[in-house]
Amino acid sequence: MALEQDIADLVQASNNLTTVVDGKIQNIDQRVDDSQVLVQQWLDTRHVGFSLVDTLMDHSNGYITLAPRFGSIEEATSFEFNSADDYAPTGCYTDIANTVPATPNWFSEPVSTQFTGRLSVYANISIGSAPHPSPKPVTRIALLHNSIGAHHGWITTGSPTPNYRDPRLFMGKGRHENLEIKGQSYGVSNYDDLVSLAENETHNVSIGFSHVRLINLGPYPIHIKGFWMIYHGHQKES
Amino acid sequence: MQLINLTTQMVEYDGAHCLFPGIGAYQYKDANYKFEIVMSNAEQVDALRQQISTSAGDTDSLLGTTSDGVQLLLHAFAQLTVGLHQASSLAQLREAAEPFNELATQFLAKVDSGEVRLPYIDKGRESVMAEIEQRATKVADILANP
Repeated sequence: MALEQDIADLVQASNNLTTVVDGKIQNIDQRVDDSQVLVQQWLDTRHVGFSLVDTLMDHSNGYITLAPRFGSIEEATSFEFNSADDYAPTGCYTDIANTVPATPNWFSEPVSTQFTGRLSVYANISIGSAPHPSPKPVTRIALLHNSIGAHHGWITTGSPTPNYRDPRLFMGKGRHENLEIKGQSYGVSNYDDLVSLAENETHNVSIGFSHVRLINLGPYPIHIKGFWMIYHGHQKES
Repeated sequence: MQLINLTTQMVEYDGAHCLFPGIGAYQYKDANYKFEIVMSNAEQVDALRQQISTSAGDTDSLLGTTSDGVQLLLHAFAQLTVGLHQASSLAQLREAAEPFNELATQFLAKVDSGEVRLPYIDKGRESVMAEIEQRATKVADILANP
């Protein structure tokens, strides 16, 4: 009896050990899975590989001057899209054409696997009329992108009658309805630097994207000298 | 150029004529939007030149045809000049004009019938002459006073 009991205890102890080891293995597997997810999340948010740069304009195009739509910062700050006129105020807006597909994977195959779906956007914009004024001139702009094939290119309303309160804001970011920018202008193009419009952000630019519309709300005139959209990619196993 | 959606009053496109994808790109299924295209004088000229390039030939082709035409005229004119210079009778005058006569007769018949159309006639002779005079004078002025 004693021997049988010893064997039974040994079997039970063996089962217990197996259960513990199994638990440990599952725990390790789970942690490995969690780590892979974390690594992927980290990778998706970082540019660690390459970029596809779309130069919508640069110095080779000269520059585009936009008059301010409003004469005071208060008027400009309170602007919201509300009518068709708001989308194309004469002399205060420009459309800049893209050259690179904003949607890498849509229909064509083989599909690309290296894009993170994140985008950075920089612009070279002169503001005002002094090289390094203090305080910096503050002006406000609105940024839209279009979508050919939608009911309305510049409006997101999904029916024939547009709601002018539904602008197709650039990259789907609410801040682009009325964005504050600061800068300088020394002979327009003597000093150049970058305004950061987006850095490593997800974007909602659709397959029908062909133009960015930039509207100068004011109160300063602005000169657009460059505009770049940088599609980030990483290098991983495809 | 601008493409204005008259139904919604939205400026759908505002950019270079050469990049315009066509009105069809801005029509949505059964929406039946009405559109208007607005072009400056320079853009209209650019659009016409693009049409000419597409259907009649690019600048090099047009230059080639112009060159052929000038050489043909120069050759015929030289033949006529020499013939006239050497002619001493009415018969010899007619003979001098003969090499180009058949070609000229056929060409005039095509122009008269409308089979061949000459842009300078559509533009207007006075307008074309004025352009020739003004352009020639401006070039001469620049060459004289560089």
